[in-house]
Amino acid sequence: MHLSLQIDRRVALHGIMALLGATAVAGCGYLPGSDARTTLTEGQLKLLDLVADTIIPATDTPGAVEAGVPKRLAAMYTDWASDETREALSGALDRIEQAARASTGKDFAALSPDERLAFLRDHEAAALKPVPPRTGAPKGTFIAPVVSVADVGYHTLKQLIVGLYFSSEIGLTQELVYEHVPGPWQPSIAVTPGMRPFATLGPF
Amino acid sequence: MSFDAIVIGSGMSGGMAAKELCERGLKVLVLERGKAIDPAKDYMDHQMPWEFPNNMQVPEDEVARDYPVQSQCYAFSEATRKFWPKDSEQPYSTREDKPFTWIRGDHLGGRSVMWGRQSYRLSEMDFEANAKDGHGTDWPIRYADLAPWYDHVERFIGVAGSKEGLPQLPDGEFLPAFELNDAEKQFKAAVEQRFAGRKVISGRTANLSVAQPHHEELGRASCQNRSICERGCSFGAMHSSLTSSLPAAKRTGNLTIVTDAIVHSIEHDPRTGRATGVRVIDAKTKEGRTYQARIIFLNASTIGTAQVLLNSASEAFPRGLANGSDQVGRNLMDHVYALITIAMFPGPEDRYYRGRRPTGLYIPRFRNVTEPGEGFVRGYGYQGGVSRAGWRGAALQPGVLGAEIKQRAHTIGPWTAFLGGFGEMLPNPENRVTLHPSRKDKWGLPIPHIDCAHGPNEKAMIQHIQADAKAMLEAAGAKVVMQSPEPGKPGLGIHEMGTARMGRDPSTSVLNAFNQAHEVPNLFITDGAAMASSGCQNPSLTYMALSARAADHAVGLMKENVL
Repeated sequence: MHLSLQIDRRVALHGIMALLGATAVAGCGYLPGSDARTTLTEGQLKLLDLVADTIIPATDTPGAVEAGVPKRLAAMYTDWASDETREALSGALDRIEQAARASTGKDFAALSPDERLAFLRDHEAAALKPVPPRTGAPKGTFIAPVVSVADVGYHTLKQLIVGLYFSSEIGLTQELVYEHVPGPWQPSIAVTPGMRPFATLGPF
Repeated sequence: MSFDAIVIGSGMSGGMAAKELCERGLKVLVLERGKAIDPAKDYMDHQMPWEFPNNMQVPEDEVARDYPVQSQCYAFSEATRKFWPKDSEQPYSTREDKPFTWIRGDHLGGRSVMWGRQSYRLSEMDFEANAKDGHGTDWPIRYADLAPWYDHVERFIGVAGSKEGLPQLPDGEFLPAFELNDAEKQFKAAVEQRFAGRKVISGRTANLSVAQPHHEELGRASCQNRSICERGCSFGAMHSSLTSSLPAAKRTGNLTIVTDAIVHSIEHDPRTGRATGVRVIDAKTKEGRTYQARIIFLNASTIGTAQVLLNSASEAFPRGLANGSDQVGRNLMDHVYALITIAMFPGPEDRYYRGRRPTGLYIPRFRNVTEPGEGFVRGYGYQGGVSRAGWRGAALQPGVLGAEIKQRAHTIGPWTAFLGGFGEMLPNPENRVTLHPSRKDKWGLPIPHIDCAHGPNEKAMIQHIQADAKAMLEAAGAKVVMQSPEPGKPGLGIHEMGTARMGRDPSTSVLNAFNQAHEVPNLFITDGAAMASSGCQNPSLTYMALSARAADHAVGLMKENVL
């Protein structure tokens, strides 16, 4: 029995367009940024470790921290993100810290792992609540819809944390099965108990 | 410097033209405006996903500044970045209300390195279509003229596919097909049972399912089912100019390649009526030089080819070279594209597949073939597939956190189907490429201005493309969860064609039945520009077949001293 599936449209289409041999995710709404190398603050970096560890903890396989997710995310903050995305990401981290204090009376770091998860669950429910887009805000396209939720920064942060985990060596090879060179195409194999999915790079 | 032949452009059609000309003993110069590529050094297909900076994404500000158009192509990433021109450096213009997405390469091999590899023949009904319904002008050739050249090209490049005996999608010289998976077979059975005349087949693709000795001679090996083809394939398992046609040309000893050579114009001698040479601007130094040859193949890609012809205006050809008909730049077509339907599919829960197959399924055109069109002429086909959903859909749900993300991600996902329609676009002389009256690029060349929009026939097709897709998926018990409401902008299909069409009448077409310019007998154009209609099939295979056929004809004329 499968978990109910709602398809992330952008993600689904990205893979599909790869098969169709043409276009997919368009960049939109980016602002030109400065050349200064901006980094997350030390406090934000510490918080990022804890948030990443809460979103993807170590289980029978290593979690996000061991997989290097916070490190890679921090590098993307500096080397990849536009000013707008940086503001969204650091804002999301700051809001997590503020909300933790407001609702629990403690720093996020002072919470136990279980408390962090419980807090983040509530925080996420509020952060990812759909909101009507601002008047005149870009809607994006069917292929690349613009996300309109209460805390877009949190949405981006979570997407990056999870996305980086499942493109890390640990995520791809321990949580999933990654074969860089699969060899012959096998169109029909049996699903066996405990079998894990092959990581996909396109729709297949 | 003087050569027997100059080929302008090293992409899909130029690579094939160069190979065929070299193999017939001509000394050939290939001019490429983009940079040189050395597959051994430049391909990024051995890097693991985690080895790329920024999760394989190009920095956002750079995308916004330099690649706002190119980044719309799925294949654009940190792994392929060197293959794309910067839109900021190589601009084109459109009317604000008529956007056109022009996706290009900027390197040796052009888009043959990042292409989608789907390879389909046009059929007799495609070559007859213009004559029958009166749109466009009649093709000067019929299927039988091109069939042996399709054979020739398919054998050389290697096309995996199944023989189906369909009049609208002729069979070819195929390598073994990439087999459909169990859910796709279930879909095939349901569709073929419910809709007489419709077929679901394995997508015909230029990947070597089983490399043959003549492929291995060129250093090509069988496909490893990695589906990272757009990075360039070090196995040489997909056809590209870099791994098959140019190496085949090179081994004759007759090939010279000059990269970073932006063609300014083709020179023409009004006394002889022949093209005499090609004026080039060095992309790096901006120095000008000229190369001479007895014949010229113009394969700069549909929009580039129009740009070169229009920029080669002279006293004899005030509207642009070979443009007495005023058809150069006109009749720009693409395919109606990005009409996607996604559905949850009731496939066998206990079955899976292994490998990332480089193709999917294909549904050949049935409208105006076995079933009537409803308010439109011509038709459409579909590419698609049924696969088990990857981790994202399940794991990135709001409210899913902690160990549950992993648990969901490592559960084999439900079968998910998608179909994407590809609709034929009619030739319309008002859809055209001109030279911008004032804007020039950094090399001083007028930039192309593109004015193109879908017409009434294309618009009439759209709802039927979506309705038919939904009906087929539902017939197989699938539940449709998403449909795109409108097609992509013209150009997004990356099948642009038609700007120097073949035809019977020099007053209404640019090229004759052998892709020879009516007005300039030693000028051949065998890229997408030559197409008199678009069909709904992916066109690269046809460009290559036209290239090989024209090259053979040109060399024949040279041997007879006609050229």
